Amino acid sequence: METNRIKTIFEAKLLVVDDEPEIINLLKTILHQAGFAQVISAENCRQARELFALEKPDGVIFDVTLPDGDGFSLMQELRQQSNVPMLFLSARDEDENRLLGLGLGADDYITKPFLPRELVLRLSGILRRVYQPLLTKPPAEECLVLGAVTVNFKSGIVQTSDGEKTLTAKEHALLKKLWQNQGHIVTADSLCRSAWDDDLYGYENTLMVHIRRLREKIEVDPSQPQYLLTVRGMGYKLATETKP
Amino acid sequence: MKSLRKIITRSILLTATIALLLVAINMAFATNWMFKYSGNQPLKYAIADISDGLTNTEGTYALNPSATAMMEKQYVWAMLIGRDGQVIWNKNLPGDIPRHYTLTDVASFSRWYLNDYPVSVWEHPDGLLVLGDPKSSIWKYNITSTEDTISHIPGFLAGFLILNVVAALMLALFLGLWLYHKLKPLYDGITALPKKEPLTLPTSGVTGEVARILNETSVILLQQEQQLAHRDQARTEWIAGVSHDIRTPLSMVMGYASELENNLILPAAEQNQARIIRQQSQRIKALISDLNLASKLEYHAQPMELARVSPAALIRGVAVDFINDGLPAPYSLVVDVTEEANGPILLCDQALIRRALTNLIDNSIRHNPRGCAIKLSVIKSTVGLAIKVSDDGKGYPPELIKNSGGLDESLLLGNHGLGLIIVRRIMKIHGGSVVFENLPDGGCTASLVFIS
Repeated sequence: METNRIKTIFEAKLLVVDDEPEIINLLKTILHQAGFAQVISAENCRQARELFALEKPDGVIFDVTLPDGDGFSLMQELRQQSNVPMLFLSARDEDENRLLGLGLGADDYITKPFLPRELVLRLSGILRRVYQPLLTKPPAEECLVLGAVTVNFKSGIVQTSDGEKTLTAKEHALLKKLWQNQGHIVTADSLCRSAWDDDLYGYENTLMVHIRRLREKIEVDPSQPQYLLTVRGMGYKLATETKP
Repeated sequence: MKSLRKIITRSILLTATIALLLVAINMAFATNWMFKYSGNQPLKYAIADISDGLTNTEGTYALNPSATAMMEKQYVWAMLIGRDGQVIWNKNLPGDIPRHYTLTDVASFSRWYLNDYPVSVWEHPDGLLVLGDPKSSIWKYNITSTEDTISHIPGFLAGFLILNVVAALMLALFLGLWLYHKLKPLYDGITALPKKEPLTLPTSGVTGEVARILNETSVILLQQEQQLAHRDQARTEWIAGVSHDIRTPLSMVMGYASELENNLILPAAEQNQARIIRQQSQRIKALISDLNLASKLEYHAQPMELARVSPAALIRGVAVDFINDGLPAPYSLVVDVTEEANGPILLCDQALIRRALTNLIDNSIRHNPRGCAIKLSVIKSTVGLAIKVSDDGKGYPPELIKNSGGLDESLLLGNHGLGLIIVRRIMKIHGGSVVFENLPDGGCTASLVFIS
């Protein structure tokens, strides 16, 4: 990918394909305000192909219904030539099913009408995911700090005042999932999927055992957990701060 | 098939009963007839009496009055043939009757007729008394039979009866089978009608006309089905088209309103107005989406992706999404499930059931602005499984509860927008139902009932 020239995601050149000039104007306004300086547009598939070949955009936003074809086929065609992020703007609920069902390789889809903030957030997210590794260095340490306890996910070591403890693979997977959703409840089902790649059915006790062992490693008093909390009937939650 | 068999069995039994009844009636009739007419016993005595009443007093024969009366009651004429063959007495003897008889004559008429007069004879001390009936009034025939034949009559009669019974039953069975054979295609045709497939029953034979009508009916039904499907499809596409067309202008309204809302140059009041425009646009978006889904569900245009899922995982997911999205403080949401519900025991379209549960929870929140405690649970019953959404709020309006069974959708619409209609239609395409109940201690429960 010729992405080395991009220093920040806002330097990315974006191609907007929509048959409604009003929508193109709206998108240009939104994207400009969000900081994207280079936004080019096409009103049909033919123009889009030409511009794509000529300008080599770093990201594309497609409408599904176009006067000379549909966005899905156009996207599949362009996907063969390039791996740049592609995002759909669709005005039909059923397009969502087609997108999910066909697995076209689109990076995301947004249904019309959309909130400008939502569009910008999603677009930036995708751009960052694709280009960020080249732009900035990844965080050196993946660390979780819980009071006096520090969990290093890279080494799988829990640092406590009593010394070091090592996380097992399953404990690591469970804690990482909780950490990624810190402050939010994670259902027992998704925890099980993260650690065992399976449904909860049959793993209920195993999961409880692993949570208890995790608490023994990260909690000061495992029977009175401060961080790894049980949400009865639903799952677990990694608290952001200790209860007063 | 059961019902046809029943019809045929009944028909066989009925035919057999009728046949046996006919045999019985005939036999009773014959017996009665035999007893009534065959013997003619009193006549025999009458002849003897008449004979006794004919007396010879000093060379002159006379019939006493009682014998005369008896004779006139039954006979037209009478004569007494003497031992020499000469008629020695007569009464009302017609002119065409000879006055002298040889042995041959006597042997002949005693067996058959005398000048076409049926006659009866009786031995009189002075000769042979002959009594004549009117011409053509009596049929005379002599039966000769061997003793052997006569002795076999009872067995013969029994055999005759058994043969009758067997023949009646065989006929009934044959008739039943014939009827079965003829009716079976018709029966199959009628049972196939609801499947909405064109019928091609053979149109020859006794049932040909009915078969032809059935064939035509199946075609008509099929055409109607196609027309209905076509209309449904047109309606769904129309709604989808309209909602598609609304979305583009609405994108502009929502997009620019959102920009104005965040435009710091504008006074706070204007920003607030822009916020209201943006919020209302979002409501319109949700309404369009609901309308589209409701229409697709009603006209079966919504593809179903059925899979076996754990009902517990499903409701945990919904509940956690609500809580993680920031459930406002006056509301609480709990999940109450048994370990059994963790199993993949529910066959459903997961996305649609999530939608139904979300709508029910939204409904509880919207109708209880002061907050309520919402509970999600799974109940297993003999017929299947129910997912329940209960709250301790103000409950459903009574008319909604009353009509829970054959619920009129306008009622749902009136009180709750499209949300509950969507719930109902989602359950309908799952072959289940939704039941709304108010609880005696306040609050209410909506049950998604799945029949397995």
